Amino acid sequence: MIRVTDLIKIYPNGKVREVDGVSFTVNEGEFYTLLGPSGCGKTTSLRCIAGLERPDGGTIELDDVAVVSDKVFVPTHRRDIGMVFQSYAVWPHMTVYDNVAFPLRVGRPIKRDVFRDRIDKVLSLVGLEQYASRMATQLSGGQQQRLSLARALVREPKVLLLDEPLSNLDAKLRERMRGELSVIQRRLGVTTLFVTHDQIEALSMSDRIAVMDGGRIVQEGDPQEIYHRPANEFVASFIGSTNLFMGELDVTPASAPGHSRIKMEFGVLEVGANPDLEAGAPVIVAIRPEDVVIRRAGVELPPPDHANVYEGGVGIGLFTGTSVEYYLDVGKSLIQARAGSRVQLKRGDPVRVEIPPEACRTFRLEGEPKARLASRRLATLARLDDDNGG
Amino acid sequence: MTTAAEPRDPAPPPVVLPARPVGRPRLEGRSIAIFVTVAILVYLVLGPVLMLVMSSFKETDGTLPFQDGVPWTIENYIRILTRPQTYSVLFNTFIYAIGALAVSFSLSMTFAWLIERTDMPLRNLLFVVIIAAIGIPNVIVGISYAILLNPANGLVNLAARGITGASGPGPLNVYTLPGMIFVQGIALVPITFLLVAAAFRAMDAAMEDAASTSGAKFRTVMRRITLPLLTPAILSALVYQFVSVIESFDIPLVLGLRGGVTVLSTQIFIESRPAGGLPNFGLAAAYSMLLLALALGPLFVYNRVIGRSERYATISGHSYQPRRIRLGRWKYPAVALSLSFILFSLVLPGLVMLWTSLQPFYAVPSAESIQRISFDAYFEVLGSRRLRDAALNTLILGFATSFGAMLVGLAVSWVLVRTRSRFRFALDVLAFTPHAMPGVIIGLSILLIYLILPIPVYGTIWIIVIALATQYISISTRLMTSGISQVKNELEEAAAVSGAAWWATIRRIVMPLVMPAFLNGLLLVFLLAIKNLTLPLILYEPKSVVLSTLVWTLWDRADTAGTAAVGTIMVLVTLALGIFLRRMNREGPQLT
Repeated sequence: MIRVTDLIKIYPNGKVREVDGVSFTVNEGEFYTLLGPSGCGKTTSLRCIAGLERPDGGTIELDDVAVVSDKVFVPTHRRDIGMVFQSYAVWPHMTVYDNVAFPLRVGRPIKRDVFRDRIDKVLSLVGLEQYASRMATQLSGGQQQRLSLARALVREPKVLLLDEPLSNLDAKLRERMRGELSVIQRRLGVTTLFVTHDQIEALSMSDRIAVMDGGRIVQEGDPQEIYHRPANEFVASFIGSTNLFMGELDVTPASAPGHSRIKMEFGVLEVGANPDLEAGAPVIVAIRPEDVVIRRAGVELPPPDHANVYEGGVGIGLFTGTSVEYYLDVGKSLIQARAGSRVQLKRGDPVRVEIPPEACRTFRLEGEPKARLASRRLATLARLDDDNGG
Repeated sequence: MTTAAEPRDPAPPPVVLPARPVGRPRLEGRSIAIFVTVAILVYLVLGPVLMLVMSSFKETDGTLPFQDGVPWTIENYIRILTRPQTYSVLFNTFIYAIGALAVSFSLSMTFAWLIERTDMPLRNLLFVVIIAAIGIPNVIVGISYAILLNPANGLVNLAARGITGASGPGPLNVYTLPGMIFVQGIALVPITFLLVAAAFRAMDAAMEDAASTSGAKFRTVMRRITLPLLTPAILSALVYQFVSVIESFDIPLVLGLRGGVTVLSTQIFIESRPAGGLPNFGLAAAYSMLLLALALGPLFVYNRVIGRSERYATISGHSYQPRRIRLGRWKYPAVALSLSFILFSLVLPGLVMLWTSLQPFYAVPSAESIQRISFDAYFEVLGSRRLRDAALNTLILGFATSFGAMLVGLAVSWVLVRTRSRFRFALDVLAFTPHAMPGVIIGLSILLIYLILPIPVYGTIWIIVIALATQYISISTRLMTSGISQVKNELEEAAAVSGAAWWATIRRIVMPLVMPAFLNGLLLVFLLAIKNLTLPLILYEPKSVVLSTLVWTLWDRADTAGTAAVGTIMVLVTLALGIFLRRMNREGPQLT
C-alpha cells in the first residue's frame, strides 16, 4: 500500500511547485496510474516515493510505515520497492543474469538455492530465461524493457513503480507490452504505481487513474468514469479526442425534462441539465467524436423529432484504418466525428449531423479555453484549402 | 520492508500508525565522500594560490617569505612595474602567444577539416602522425630545432647556404622570437588538433545539408553555417591554448635564453632559481601575479564561451560520419601540405636527433662523419646510474601523478555531475583554477609551501608529483566529467531502487562504466607528466632527477650526443604510448 499525503515538491528555482499538495492512496494489489501531460508533476511524485527526490512537504507511507515525513527520510536503497525506468536503465556492463541478480546481491544475504530460484522464476516470468548469459546491451528494446521489469520484481517488493516504461517502444510492441504488463501485475498482485502521459495505457491497464495538471490531481476515478464523466475541460480534452465548443446557457426550456438548451455557433444544442450553470452563463461543451452521428443528407431519413440535428458538409476525412475521422462544416463550426471504417464520404458531401444530448458534457467557461484555439485553427485551415481548391 | 524493525499492525481494518523516525539521520558514505573531495581540492589548489599572493607582499631579498621577521611590503610590485625590462618581457610574451596560436590554429584547423570532412588521400597517416607526437617532450622538440635551425651550423641553414652560395651565419635563426613562435606553434599542434577535430567530428551534418537543400552554395554553407556552429568550440580551444603558450617554459628556455629573448615564464624561473646569487621569491611571486592576471583575462571569455556553447545543441556526439567533401584536383596541394608538415614536424627533427645521438661530437652529415657513427652515447647513458635513477623516478612520477590526478578528478566530477551539493560551484571553480595557473607559478608556490609545512617531501620526487597532480586536476576533471555524464543518472538510480547503498553503487555501477574514460585519462596524464619539464626543473634536487630534467642538464652542459641519445629514447617511448592512446580511444580525449 502507498499512502501519499499533501506531497509538495518545489522546483529548484524556489518558485514553481512541481508537486502542489498531492494526496492519494494506492490499495494493496491495485494498479494505480498517475496520468498527465509532461510537467504535470507525475514523475516527480513517483520519484519522491522512490526516494530519488526529497519532497519539500507532506508524508509518504509504504505499508503504513512512514518513509517520508517531517522527521524521517528513508534513503532509496532502504525502501522496499522495485522500479522500471523510462530508459530501462539496464546496466550495459553486465549480463542479463547479473542485472537481475544485482538486487539480491546487494540486499540481505539469502540462501543460494533461493537466490537461483528467484532469478529463474522472474526471468521465465518475463520470457527471458534463454537469454540469461547474454550481455544486456545485446537485447532488443522490448527485451531490455522486460529485463528491467524482471530486475524490479526479483526482490519481491511491496511496491512496484513504473515510470513511463512503454514510451520508448514502437507502437506495435507497446500494444503487446500493455497486455503482458497487466497480466504479470495481476498474477503477482503487486501494488503498482504507474506513471504515463498516454491515455490509452492508462485507460486500458489501470484499476484507478488520477489525472494530474499543474502539480495537482484534478480527477481521480476508474477508467470509465474518467473517460465518460470528465470533471473539467482539461480532463475532457486531455483524454481521448474531444470537440470543445463555447456557448451560452439559454433561458428557454428544453424539449425534454432534465435537459437545458445552449446557444452555439452552429445552432441550439440540447444537453443534460447542469445544476452548476445559471441562465446566460458562458459554457464549454465537450462532445466525443465517436458520439457524433453522421447521416447522408437526403438518403438516410432523420428519426422523427430528435433534438440536435444539424445540416452540414464534409470538410476533410482522415482514414486511420479502424475508423475515419471526419471534420464537418456545420454553420461556422468544425465538428469532429468518427465514422466506421467503411463509410465513404467525399469532401463537400452534404450530411446531417446528430448529437445525442446525453453525450454532451458541460463546464462553466473559466478563462481562455485551451483546446478551442486548436480547433479554430484547423477550421481556418480547412476553409483556406477550400478556397484554393475551388 | 527493509525497515521491518518497525512493528506493524497486521489486523484489518488497517490502523494507520503515526509516522515515526526509522533511525537517526546517519552520516552517509556519500556525504563523507563529498566532504573529503572538497577538502583535498581546497588543500591542493587554494594552498598554492594563497601562498603566492602572500609571498608577493613579502620583502625577501635572500630570505624565505615566511621566516621570522620578514616584513610585509609592496616593494616587489613597485620594482617590477618600474623596471623597463618588465614591459619588454610582457611585450615578448604577448607577441609570442599570438604568433604561436596563429601558427598552430591555422595548421590544426586545416588538418582537422581535411582529415574529418574531406576525401584527402593519406588522411589516416597524417592523423596518426599528428596525434602520436602528443607525448614528445617540448624540451626535445626545442633541442632538435636548435640543431636544425641554429644560425651557425644548423642543417637547414647549411643546406640553404649551399644552394644560394651565401656565407654564414644564417639565413635562419631559431634563437629569435619568430623562431620560437614557429617551434612553439608546431609543438602545440597535437592538442589543438584534438580540440578542433572533435568539434568538426561532432557537428551534425544535417545542419549543412539543410542549408544545401535551401539552395546555398558550398562557400555560403561554410561561411554561414559550418563556421558559426564551430565558433564556440574553436574559441574555447583558443583560450585553452593561450594559457598553454604563456605558461610554456621549455621552448623559451631552450631557444629564448640563448637568443636573449625572455618571456614571463622564463623571467619567473630566473628570479626563483638564479644562476648566481640568491633567489628572490617575493619578486618571483610578484611576477607570477602578473602572469596569473594575463592568464585570467581570457579565462573570463572562456567561461562565457562555455556558457554560450550550451545553446548550440547541435554540437553533440553523433555516431554517423558526415558526408566527405570531394577535393578533386585540390587534393594535390592538400597532400603536399600534409607531407611537408610531417617532414618538418616529425621526420627532420627525429632524424637529426637520431644522427646527433650517433656522433661522439656533433658534426654535420658527411662521408667523414658517417665513418664516426657509434652507439657509445647509448651505452654510456644506459650504463649510467643517473639515467637509471631518472628513468625510475620518471616512472614513479608518471604513475603517481596520473593516478592521483585522475582519482581526484573522478571524485570531483562525480560531485559536479551527480549531486546538488552546495559546494558544487566552489568545486567547479577550484578544479578549473590550476588550468589558469601557469606551471611556473604552481611550481614556485608549491616550493614555498613545502619549505614551510612540516611535511617531508621537499627535495624528493613526491613534491614534483604533488605539483604535477595539482596542475593536471583541471584536465582530469574535464575528462571524467564527460565520462560520467555519459553514464545516465538512471543507471545509478536503478541501483539505488534495487537496494544498493551509495558505495555499492559507486563500486559496482559507476566504476566499471567509467573505466574506459578513466584509463584513457590515466594514459594522457601519464604522458603529460613525463614530458613536463617546468615543474621538475623548479622542484628537483639531485636525488629526484627525471628524464626531462636530465635531457635539459645534459644539453646545458653541451653533451649533445648524450642529450640526443636520451631524447631519442624518450621520443620512441612517448610515440609508442601516443599511438597506443589513440588505439584505446578513437574518439580521442575531450579536453574541453
